[in-house]
Amino acid sequence: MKNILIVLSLTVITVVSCSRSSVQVTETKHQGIAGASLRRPAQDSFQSCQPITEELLIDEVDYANLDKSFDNVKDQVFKNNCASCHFGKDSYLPHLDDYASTMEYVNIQNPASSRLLKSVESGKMPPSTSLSSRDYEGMKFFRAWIIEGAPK
Amino acid sequence: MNKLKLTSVLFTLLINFQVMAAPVPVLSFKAQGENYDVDKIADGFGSIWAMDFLSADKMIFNEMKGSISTLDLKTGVTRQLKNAPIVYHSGQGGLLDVAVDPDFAKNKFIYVTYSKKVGTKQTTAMARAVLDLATETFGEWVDMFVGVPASSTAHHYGSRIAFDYKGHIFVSQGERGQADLAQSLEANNGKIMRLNMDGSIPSDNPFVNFPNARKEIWSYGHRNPQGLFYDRISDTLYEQEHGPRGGDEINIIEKGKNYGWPEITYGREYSGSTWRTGESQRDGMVQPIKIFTPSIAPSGLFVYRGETLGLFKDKFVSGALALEHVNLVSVKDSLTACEDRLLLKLNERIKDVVQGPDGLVYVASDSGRIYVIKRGQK
Repeated sequence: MKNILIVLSLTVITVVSCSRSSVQVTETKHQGIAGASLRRPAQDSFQSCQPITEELLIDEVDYANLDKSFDNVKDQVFKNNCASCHFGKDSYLPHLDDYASTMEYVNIQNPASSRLLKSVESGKMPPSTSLSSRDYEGMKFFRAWIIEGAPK
Repeated sequence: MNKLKLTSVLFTLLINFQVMAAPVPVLSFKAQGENYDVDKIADGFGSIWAMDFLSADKMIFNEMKGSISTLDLKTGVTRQLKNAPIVYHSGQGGLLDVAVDPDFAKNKFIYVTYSKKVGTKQTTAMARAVLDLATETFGEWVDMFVGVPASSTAHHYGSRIAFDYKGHIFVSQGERGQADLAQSLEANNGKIMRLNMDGSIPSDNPFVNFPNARKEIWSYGHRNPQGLFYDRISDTLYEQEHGPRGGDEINIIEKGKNYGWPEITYGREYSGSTWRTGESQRDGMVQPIKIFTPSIAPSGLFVYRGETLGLFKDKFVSGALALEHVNLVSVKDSLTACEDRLLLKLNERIKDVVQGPDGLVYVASDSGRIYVIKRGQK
């Protein structure tokens, strides 16, 4: 019990000292694995150690002024969201890295009913929701390209 | 130089040129008063699961779909290696970790973990082969570990490889969606295994004298370990695993210990309700030294022991899939530590992170790119 109280005390001390603008958390030491079964880590504990300023050196995509062409869809949307499974000749999955293969999943007569579009709008693809949520603008561009008849 | 040789050289140059990529500066950041630059050094691949180093200048990396390539860090040339292992690529399965034998200069061994088809089911396996760099070809792949039992599920394979540089190799396997098997010593689900370098089972493994136990088990009660790192400085095996909803963990792995899944967790049911036992601690089950709630979905783990990048020194470095960043946590203070979250603006699902022989940090993404973090110029 004494060990537990010591650990909890150290935990409180260091939680207090770890602020969003400071990295001054240096006093606590791990107690080793002995007794570790009763240590309780802090929960919901994300705190940034310090301000970090990031500067993106590449241009973000200006979809509004981007031609709705297969190359642009491939480079800006498929490459970021689909390449891991759908690029590469050895894949047994639909190939989205060339126009002819991609068009096998597009219904020119009724673009809105295209299998490619439906798989995305149903949430089935990409399989990770974090991907689709992150590239919402890309998905909008992809939809607009399909609806316009998927021009080459 | 005769005509044949000249043609050969030109052909080689042409091939190399096609796969050569100059570093592209993509991000800079400032921390602790120091500038850091991030360059993209490879692009256009499928989901990259793992990286390691063959030499100071040559990286080996894989794609989940089942290919293995090298990247020359000086020229940017990538070369796909021949005779990669046959893997079952579906769901979370495919080619997983890749690791270079600590004695590669002599024995040329490369290890992989992968999803292996067993009948109509699949499991996590580890295999190794000799890599002939002259012909860029692997020899025959020989399985050293095949998880038992195989399962019809397509997720939670794990898996990572780590060496203790004392003649042992560790390999992690996820619970394959069969949570209760993580507590069974008769299954490899949710376990970390320890083998001799020749694939045999060490006589001092913790469960070698337990009837019906899998003798290769070193620790148990894991969910989906996608980070495993043996720190030679502290002589410690660290592991990182995905929690259910919240409760991602970093653990210190010790012989024969039970890490609790699915009996205890800091995560929750995906419905948002408390996990089924409602417990996060229990006697005899080891607590993590760091939890991430909400989940960052960690993949890849090492402790930075270099001097080149001051911000990283003596910190856990891990990738985050869901929250899309490179995560830094002080090893010394992990229990209560604040975090640094880097490369957020790249919006990349990070699959693996490694420290290069040059002291720089290399980052691989789900979108098939490799980045390097280095000291900034400005």
